[in-house]
Amino acid sequence: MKKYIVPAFFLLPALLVFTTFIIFPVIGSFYYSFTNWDGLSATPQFIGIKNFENLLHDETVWKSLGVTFQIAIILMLGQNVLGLALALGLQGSSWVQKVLRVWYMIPLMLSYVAISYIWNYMYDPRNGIINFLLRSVGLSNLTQDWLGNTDLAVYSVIFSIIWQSFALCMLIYVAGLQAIPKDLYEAANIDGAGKGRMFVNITFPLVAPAFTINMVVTMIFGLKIFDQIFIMTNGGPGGVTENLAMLLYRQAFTFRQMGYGSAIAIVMFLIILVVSLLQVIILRKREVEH
Amino acid sequence: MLSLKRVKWIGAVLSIALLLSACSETNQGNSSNSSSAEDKPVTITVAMPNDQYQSLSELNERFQDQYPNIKIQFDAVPTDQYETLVNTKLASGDGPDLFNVNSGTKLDPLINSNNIMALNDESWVSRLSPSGLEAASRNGNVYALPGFQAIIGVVYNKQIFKELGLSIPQHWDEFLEVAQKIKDSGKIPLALGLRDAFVTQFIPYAMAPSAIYRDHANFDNEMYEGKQTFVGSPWEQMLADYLGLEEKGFFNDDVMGTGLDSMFQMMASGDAAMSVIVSPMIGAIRGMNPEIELGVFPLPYVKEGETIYVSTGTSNVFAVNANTKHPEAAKQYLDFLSQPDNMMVLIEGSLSAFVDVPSQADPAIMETEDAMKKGTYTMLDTIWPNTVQPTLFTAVQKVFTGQSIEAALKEMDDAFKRGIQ
Amino acid sequence: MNRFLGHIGKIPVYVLLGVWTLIISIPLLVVILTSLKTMPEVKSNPLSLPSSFQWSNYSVAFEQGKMLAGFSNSLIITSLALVFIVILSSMAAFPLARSQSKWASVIYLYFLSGIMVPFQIAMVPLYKLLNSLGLNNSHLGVILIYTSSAMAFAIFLYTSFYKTVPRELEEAAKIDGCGPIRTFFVILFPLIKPITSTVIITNALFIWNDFFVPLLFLQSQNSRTIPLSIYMFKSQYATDWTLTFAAVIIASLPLVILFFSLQRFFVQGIASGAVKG
Repeated sequence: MKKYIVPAFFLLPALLVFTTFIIFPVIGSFYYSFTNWDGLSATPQFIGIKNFENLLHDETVWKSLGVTFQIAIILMLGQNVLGLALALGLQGSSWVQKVLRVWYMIPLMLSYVAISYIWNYMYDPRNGIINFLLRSVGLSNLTQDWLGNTDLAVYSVIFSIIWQSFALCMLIYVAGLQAIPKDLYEAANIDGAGKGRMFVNITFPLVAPAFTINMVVTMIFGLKIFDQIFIMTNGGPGGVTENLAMLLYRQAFTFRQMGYGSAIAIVMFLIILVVSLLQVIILRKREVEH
Repeated sequence: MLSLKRVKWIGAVLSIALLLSACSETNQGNSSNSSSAEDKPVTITVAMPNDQYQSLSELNERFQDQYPNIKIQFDAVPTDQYETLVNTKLASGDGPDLFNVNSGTKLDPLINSNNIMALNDESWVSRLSPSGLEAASRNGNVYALPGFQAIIGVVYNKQIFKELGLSIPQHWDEFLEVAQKIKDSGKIPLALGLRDAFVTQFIPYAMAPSAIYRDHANFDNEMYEGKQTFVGSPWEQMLADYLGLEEKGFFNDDVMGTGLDSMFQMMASGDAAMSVIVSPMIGAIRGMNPEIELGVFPLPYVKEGETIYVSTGTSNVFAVNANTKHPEAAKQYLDFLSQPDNMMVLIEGSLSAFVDVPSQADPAIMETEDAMKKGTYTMLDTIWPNTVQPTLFTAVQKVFTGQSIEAALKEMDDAFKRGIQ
Repeated sequence: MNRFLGHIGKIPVYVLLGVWTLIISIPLLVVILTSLKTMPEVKSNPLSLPSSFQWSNYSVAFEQGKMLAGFSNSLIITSLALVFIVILSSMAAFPLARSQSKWASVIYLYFLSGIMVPFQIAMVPLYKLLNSLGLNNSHLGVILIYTSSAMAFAIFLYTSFYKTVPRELEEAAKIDGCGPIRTFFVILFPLIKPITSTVIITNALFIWNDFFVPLLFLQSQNSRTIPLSIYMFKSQYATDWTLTFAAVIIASLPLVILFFSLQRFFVQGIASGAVKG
């Protein structure tokens, strides 16, 4: 018995806070997902699995599922490819590289509210900077309604998110790259390997732990994105930027279907769980192999 | 290096910090008194979206001067978040004593969950105009203090009309001709910004009274009875004509990405000649360009010779929280606001909902007075079940981006059915 | 010069870096320029230098946006939350990393599941909970919410890091007669500084800039944090970009300045945490 006191002492505060403020609310919303609560009445009515049945037949749910994955996957790929490419160029220790590494982190210091306002201004079709620049170099036929065009809107939002947060990903890659012993490259060079092969056989495999972390984290982050979409497009135009998080908010708070919204939240949680587990398993395996 | 002494000191600091943060709880909740005696000092919490009734801060000062024992804690919440915030607070039993509510069917969820109280016995109820009564009542009970009456109309730039020799169109074909002439002169006929979703509803609401309700006043009741649907009704033609304006190039470019403020700017700068808006918005346009000459006419969605009906609605100011600990103070506040000199400040620039409060609306809005006498119908979201209006927003956005009108109307029908379950 | 760089070809990399640097810098430049102009100037040429510096935009934004209150609220909440996060997570991760027993793995996974919980799922139940605890509209309530949501990831980082710390030090301390508490705070804590700085930096960023939690749980005017102040400010002055961007700059300046002075730690912190994980 005594040997449990010490671990308990260390664990208890965290367990208490975590359970109270995360687990209880999650259980609460499990409960609400089996009701038709409207968020206002004192007593929600139990309706069994009806919410989940409706969910399966709801077109908007399937559509937003697609949008969720679209956003998450492009975000994950975009951040990682860009992060790695930039890291390759910035892994050295010249002053230019040091300065750029710092400079690229500035967007991270801005809040989502600030980022959304900045990019709303950049993307505005009449007064925005992007179209202004295009017009002033004579490319006015390329001007677009960046946030209003249903084909472009998602990509515009995704780009602004990448713009803000790619630096974290990049820095992790820089650290990973810096950890690779230089003699490996020298040895390969002596053996006559070209730059492509060096990347494939040395860099990529050895940067695997950084790769794993980045992929998993950016994926989870991408699946849950809410604030930026909320402020920039509110799910519009016509629902093309509405991912599950936005749909959940709309159902729960705009349509006052708290029960239904909770059911969607449960589904979202399960998806994130499954995807993350799969990712970790696949990527860890790959890590070990190399 | 951390010594144990240091650790203990840090521990002490932490505990103090913990205490401090708990104490720095800004004590904004309901005040400690739960009595109803008016003499004890009392604080009442009041919530309002921050883009409406902006003269409230001034009026609150007046109120506190007049009733020194009642203090007002006023929260102007950003409009997009207003409903979420208030509902979340009400759901956990911590709602404001007075809060802004919408009209008509929008009151139902609050009534059904026993969150707002009936105010039938208040002295100001007898002074309400018919439209005020309509906006604030459900099932024969009055639930809110009404404020100003708004209309949806076409605001137009008088200087441009004069230059191009245009007169106010009296029917739809004339309206299209006017728009074409404006377009040919190089200006934008109609400013429209659908990025802010609520803008989507203005034109359909402006069309509906003439297209449907003038000749078929019972349409909404029939919808509730399941005898009418959006599909197969004049709505199909309405949306087709709405989209038709876009197809003829009468709107600005990139409507989907244009916001409300750009709409106002286009009017204010004279780039656009007309825009369909709700009457309180005229103030914002004038604010951007005080020199501008503006007028308003009702959207003439009629055939030649037919009567135009105007879309109008009265907004509510506040309802009283059914669970408030200070019902007397809250009611006194409402009574104060309903007094003619205060109400006039409250609704500045708009039409009033009280028979003894003269309308001192913007002269541009007053130009529609005659049209309003001929016939009006209330703004549709106050009659529909609450699920329909948000669906209308997305339906219009989808139609503008290529979806079929029939599919969009079907979504609205589904939403209607869900709402009456 | 980096030998590997030489092998991949300098030119494409330089082009990418150059282009991307422009992409990063132009919006930032626009924000700064716009904040110093008047609206008519902005509309005629968004990219021009201001004809005269409108510093008044900043004072209007500061006063009307109630930024002083915003800063003090943000500061209190962020610093206290960070303290809680670091202490609770580093403590909890200790037995989880050192113990081989099954219950340790179970508890570890229990904490980890928190990473996947989307915030919206907990919104309304949390509101009811805070209310019943009397923590509504209080700094402490929000601090506890931030602490609990940061815990999962922080515990993950600490646990991974502990595993790389050799046990010999703890064992030596035990032999010397140190109790577990002393061992932890005096010996271990200084060693985990790198990962602590990662935890602090990532969470500080998130908490300082977070918008949604204060929106729901800290609405009253006196308790607003900085992002909320900008948001409220913008909805009042919706069409005036010059004021909005002045507000954005004021709000972002502290973090940016802090960042520049501590950037070595930032960069190190993020990198070391991730790689060891």
